[in-house]
Formats: sequence, C-alpha cells, structure tokens
Amino acid sequence: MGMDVMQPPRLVALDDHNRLVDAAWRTHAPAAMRFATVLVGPADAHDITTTAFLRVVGQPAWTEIDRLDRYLLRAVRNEAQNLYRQRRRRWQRDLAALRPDVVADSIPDVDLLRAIAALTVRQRSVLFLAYWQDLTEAEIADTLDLTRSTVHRTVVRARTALRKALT
Amino acid sequence: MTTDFDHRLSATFDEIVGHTPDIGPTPSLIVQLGTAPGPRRSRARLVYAASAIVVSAGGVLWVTTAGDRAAAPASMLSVATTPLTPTDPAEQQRADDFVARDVLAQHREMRTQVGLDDADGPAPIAAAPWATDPVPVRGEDRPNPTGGPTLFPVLDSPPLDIRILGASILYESVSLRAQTKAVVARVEDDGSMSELYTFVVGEGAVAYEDLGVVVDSTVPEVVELSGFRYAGWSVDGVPVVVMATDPLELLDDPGFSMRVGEDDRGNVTVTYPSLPPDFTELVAPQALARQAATARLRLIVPEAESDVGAVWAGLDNPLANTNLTEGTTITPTEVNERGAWIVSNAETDHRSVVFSPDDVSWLLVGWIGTEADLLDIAGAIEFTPADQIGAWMTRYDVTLPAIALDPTPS
Repeated sequence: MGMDVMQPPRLVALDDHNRLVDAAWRTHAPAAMRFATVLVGPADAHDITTTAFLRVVGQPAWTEIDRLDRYLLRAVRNEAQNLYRQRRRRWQRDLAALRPDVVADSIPDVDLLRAIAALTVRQRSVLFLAYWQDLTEAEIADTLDLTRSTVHRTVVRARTALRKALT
Repeated sequence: MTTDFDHRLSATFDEIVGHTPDIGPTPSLIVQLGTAPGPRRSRARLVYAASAIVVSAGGVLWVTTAGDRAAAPASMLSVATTPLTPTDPAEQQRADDFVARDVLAQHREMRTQVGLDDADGPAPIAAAPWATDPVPVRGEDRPNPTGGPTLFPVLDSPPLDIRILGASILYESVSLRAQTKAVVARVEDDGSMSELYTFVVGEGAVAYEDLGVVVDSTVPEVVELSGFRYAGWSVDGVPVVVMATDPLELLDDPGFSMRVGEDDRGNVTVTYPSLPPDFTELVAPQALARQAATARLRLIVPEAESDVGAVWAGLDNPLANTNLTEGTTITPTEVNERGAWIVSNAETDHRSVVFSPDDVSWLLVGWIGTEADLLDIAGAIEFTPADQIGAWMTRYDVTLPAIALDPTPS
C-alpha cells in the first residue's frame, strides 16, 4: 500500500507535460487567437483562447486528441458561445472598437464589419473558416463538430443576413 | 463562384484578424493542471465577485439579514440534489479556507488599491485613483409614486457632486478566467460618458485597457439607499448600477433584505420586507424600462441555517423585474435531465432555468426569455462536475460568498 502512495515519477511527468503544453500553445494558439478575435473581438480574444486552451490541456488525455488544432478551435468556439449570450451587447461594443474612429484607415468595409459583428458566434465561426481559412464545408463541419448540412445552412443564412444588413 | 461580396467578406476578416492579440507566454497551469477548475477556483471567483459587487441592468443585490429557516422551501431545496453532489472534501475545505482567508486578503488589496486602510469605512466614491476630478451629476429627487422614500434623482436639477466611480465594477465583471474584469466610465460635465475602460483586477495588478469606446447611452443617476450611494447609468442600452461602496458593508446592511419563502401551495415566494413597496422602481427606473424582452434572473438561495436568507438580483429586463414584487410567486415546474430546474413566473409568463449545483451553496441563476433561449442555454451549459461552477461563472457575474445549501428537504 505504501508503494501506491509514493509517486516519484509524477514530477518528471509533470515537467514533460508542461513542455508538451508549452509546445501546444506555441503551435496552436496563433490560429486559436485569430479565431477568438473574430468571434469575440480583440479585447477578449486572449482571455477566451487562454481559457479554452487550459480547459483542453486540463483533460487527462489531451495529448491523445486527434487534430488538437481543431479541438482547440471548438473549445474556443464553445467559450465564445458561453459568453456570447451574456455579453452580446458588450462584444458588439468591443467589435465596434474596430470602427472607423479607431482604425479609420484600415477598415475597408465598415458596414460589412458591423454586419459581421451582429452575426451569431456560429455564423461568424463558419464564415471565418470558410472565407479566411478557406476550409470546405466538410472541413468546417469536422472542425466545429457540426453536420455538413448545418454548416451549409449556416453559411447561407449568414450570407443572407449580411446581404440584408448591407442593403 | 467567387463574387465581389466574397472578396469583401474575406477582406473584412483580414482586417479583424489583423487585430489579433499576441499569444503571449504559455498560460500557467499552476491552478488547472491535474484537475479541471473546481470549487476552489470557482469559489474564488464567486467570492471575489462579492468583493467587487456589480449589479447590472438596474439590478441591485439584496441580502437577507434575517433569514427564516422555516421560510426555506423544502420543495425548492429538494431539487438541488444529484447529479452534482460534491465528491472532494479536501477541495471543499480549500474553498472554505479560501473564503476565510484569501478573499479577505483580496478585498484588503482592493481597498489598498483605492487608498483605503483596513480600518476605513466604505470606500468613498472618489477614492479610485483614476477619479481625479469630481464629476457633477445633476439630479433631483424623483417622486415616489407610492409615497415611499425617494429613490432616484434624475438629470438636470440641483447638482449633486459625486465622483464616478470608486472601486466600481460594471456588469460582466467576472469572467471565467482567473481575473475579474471591471469597466470604468467617466462622466463628463454634461452628464454624458465619454470614456470606457476595462481593467483587470487580479494578481495584484491593475491593467487598464482603453477600448476606445464611446458610451452612447447615458443618464447617470445617483441612488442613495440606506446610506449607500450608487451610480447608475445605461451602457449600450444595458442599464447598469454600480455600487460605490464597500460590498461587505452592504452585506451587513439590514436595509437590503429579501426572503424566499413558500406559500401554502408549495410555491416559492420572494418577499422584500425591508424595501419600499415600490422597490422595483429601483431596479426599473422609468428611463431604463424600455429594454428588450430577454432577461436574466438571478436568485441565490442559501442555506436555511444561515442568517443570510437569499439574494436576488434582476438583470437585463426591468420589465420583468417590475413583476417580481413582493408576493411574486415562482413555481418550479420541472427538472430537466441536466438537473436544471425550470421555473415559471406566472405573473410574467416568463420561464427561467434554474441551475442547482449542490456542492455549494447557491442555487441558481436563471434566464428569462423565450423558450428557445431557455432551452438553448440549458443545453449549452455542460454540467460536468469539475467545471460546473466555472461554467456558471462565465455567465453570471454577481455572486455571494459561499453559503452552504441544505439540499435536504425539511
């Protein structure tokens, strides 16, 4: 029984674990951070990404996760959704920080930016992956753990919403 | 086929992505490693939130100081059982230790940050280091339609010299992260608010982050209740009340009270024995009463033995709040498969989802809105034992120090 209590390898394992975590962060955080920025705006992106990342690597078998990059994106998406309903107005303000009065010279399409800001998290997620990451609907479905038909519908609805907002 | 619209969309995403923050160093795993966020961290947020109480949407926090054991409804408490029974006594003990020690230390630290000694009384409104200049908020007393105490001054009458804001925290102040976010707004001479900052309270550091946001809606109001002053306004249509005093003092203030009871039909009732009959004016001032229909409701039902009976704070929908007057009955109607307790407010025809993690302390926080909203949210929260409270805290920002809930029907 005494041997069961002693767990000397733990420190070593912990150290290795930290190295893995560090490597995972450096590898996957940039994409996750971009994704989070699109979903929640720059002010909360780091917070969201960090939280999602820690949630992922806090899982006992996280190193065995297939496609950790996509898994992390889903975690980011979930974090964003968790907060979205509560903070909808706030996020719209955060995204509004990108309005012309802040970055006047760099925003090519303010109306569209505002319209994007008004989309749901899912819509923004899907559009971003489709239009910025250039993923196919099947890839988006896999990344976000959605059905392909859901992705298709979401794209159509999001585009419709954007067009409507721009007219 | 790629269209011009597609190009516009891609280009706009380019711009948004261009504002992506640097990833920074690898997040520390000191807390999280080995275990997912548990009660201690959650409790930390929970209690820390209490040391920086913010109530939004005109919601104001009431705490009973004369809880009635008999008033704790068995039917309500009985739903706060499985599947969320605590399994780690050591974690619970750490949480309790945290409540007893760390939170108070944090609170002291906050007081230090605003230049107060421990022995000082409630933080004056002007105590915040950033509140360098007094901001005149002009107001006059608003007549109480029921003849009770005057509650709200309104703009454009006798000047009331008040500085906004002291150790003020706005809504959404608690993130699920290990830090507490706060928002500070500055009121200009004309009563408008021209700056909005977020800063992060935690780890002893206060970082300011200028969002560059101009607050568009602004009728700052000052409320005085039981000797405490509050600054309130509306931000982006969200009515906000900021408590500009020491929250721990508030907890001891008998002027704020609320009781959760049970009527003869077994329904949970909420009464406010120490507030003016029209207290809902407080949470739903006329200027803020035209809000969207979606709302959140917070109800925290602590243990029956505590002298703290219950806490309630309305959020986001003053219209709904106005219906939660004394005698309002909230009827539990079902318990869903996740342990969430669905209630209906018969008077407003709103339904709320009430979650009941039973490893602590507080029942609930809910959501009033459409059924679709309700179901959506109920489905969105993952009730895993380890992070359930964290999930909660991502959603709700006003909480209380841990108060044990007695899940056993009496």
